[in-house]
Amino acid sequence: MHRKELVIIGAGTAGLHAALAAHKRKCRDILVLEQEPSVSISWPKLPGLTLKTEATALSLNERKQVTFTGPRVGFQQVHAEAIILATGAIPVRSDHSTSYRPDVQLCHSASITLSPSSYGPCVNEMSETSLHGVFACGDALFVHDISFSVQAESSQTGMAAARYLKEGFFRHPVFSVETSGLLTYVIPSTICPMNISETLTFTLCAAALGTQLRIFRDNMIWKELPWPSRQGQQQVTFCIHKEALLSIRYRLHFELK
Amino acid sequence: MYDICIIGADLLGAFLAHRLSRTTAKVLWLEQEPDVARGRSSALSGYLSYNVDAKNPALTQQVIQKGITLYPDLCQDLSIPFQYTAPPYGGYVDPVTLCFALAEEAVLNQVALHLSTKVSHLAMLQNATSFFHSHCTINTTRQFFADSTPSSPAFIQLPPLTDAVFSAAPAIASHIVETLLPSTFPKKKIFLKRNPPLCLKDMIPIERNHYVHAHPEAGRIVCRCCQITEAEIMDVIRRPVGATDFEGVKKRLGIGTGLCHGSRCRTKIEALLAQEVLCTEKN
Repeated sequence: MHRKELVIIGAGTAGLHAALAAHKRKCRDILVLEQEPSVSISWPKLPGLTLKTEATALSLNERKQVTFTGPRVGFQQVHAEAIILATGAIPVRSDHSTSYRPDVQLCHSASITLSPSSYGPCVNEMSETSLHGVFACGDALFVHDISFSVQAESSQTGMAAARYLKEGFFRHPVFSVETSGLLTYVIPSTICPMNISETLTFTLCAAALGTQLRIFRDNMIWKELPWPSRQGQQQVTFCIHKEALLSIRYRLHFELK
Repeated sequence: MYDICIIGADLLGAFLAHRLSRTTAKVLWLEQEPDVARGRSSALSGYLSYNVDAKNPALTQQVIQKGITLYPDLCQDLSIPFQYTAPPYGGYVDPVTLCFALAEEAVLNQVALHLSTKVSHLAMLQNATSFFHSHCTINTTRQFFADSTPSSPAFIQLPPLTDAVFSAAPAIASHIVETLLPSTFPKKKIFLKRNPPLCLKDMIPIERNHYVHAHPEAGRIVCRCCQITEAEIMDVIRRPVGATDFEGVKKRLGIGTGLCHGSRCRTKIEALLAQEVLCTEKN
């Protein structure tokens, strides 16, 4: 079985920027898998960066082994130290319309925890999923609005993966962030209590403009924030109190008034 | 001129055709739908039950028991999976897979299968567009024929397909062929076996790697949800009783039952079907 430092699944915008960021951080053994015969973006020729087109990733297991197949690559299994999922979204047909959802087929095969609000994998502040060393970015994480910058997010993911490969980081206990109503997604969907302050990024529906955001902690109203009258991506920075972190029941809950 | 005509290409028809294809009888097999197994076989549970059906008093416990004991060997012959289950069930077999396997082996052994052919009358008509002639007719469908009087050649009506009939089906088929038919037919000397369908998932990694290098189309994944490759789809289309539409491919391979409900693979499969049908029409 081949060994690779970093395997990126998907060669779209997210995959490209994750690969570039990881390469910039001295990661020199990157394999990128793309299922289509050609890529829409021109990829730079960099040492240690291999792009394999017409290679479909079939499964991913808990030991971070990726199985892929293609007419030119045959049927191979590769063992990766870190994996970035940038598979994008898939169309889901209903009776009248087609909506999009993150492609979580590989998450299913590796039994990665999924978020019920975005249908994508749950990630921490480093875009790392519940499986240690497996990262997700782009539409594979949640379906992005046009206002959302995939480039910045996937670059951060690439950097996080490179940092993980270099030093590895201790996985802290995390607590989940839940959303309801018109708030569609919060990044990160889990928060590490070791951080003193945390920046949360929200995506918001147009219908929720001009309303008030309530943040609940342990089912008690903790903070009330007026929501800026701008659609799309918003950021809220707040401090986490150290003493509250020791409570296991600590849980943030967001609601729009 | 045919010896026997079977109406309906569902599970019972497939059992009869398969049983008759082992003999020297000339068999005509008619189906109004464009594919086999479009009837009640997909509504069956697949579990072989010993329970007697109240609607069919002729179907006794002995017949059902005999039918269930015939299943394991039959499934092994056809190379399809058979699961032994705990009582009260005698086992589990997928009725649709079984129907396709039986139909394929019957057609390989010179059963004349005419799909998309609806039977309008049993007696010969002057102004009918086409007609077939046979000594004996077996009706497995619920279609009612007013002309099926005793004066017409032998006519056998089979019961509707229920779980009890499904359990007893091999016994029913051999009973009809051995005793009810007006004439008996000797066994064929050469009986062809079907090739088991291509399944890349069953291969071990090294074997699959060699296979993909030899056949590049086996590396092209068409349905990502069910991980079905182009080679498997082409195999299904080119079989003796091949798929002719998306529904047929879906029933054989389970495509379109995944997360995306066929929204990613449907157009690709229809393109493959169109390409293949055009090729056969040109030839």
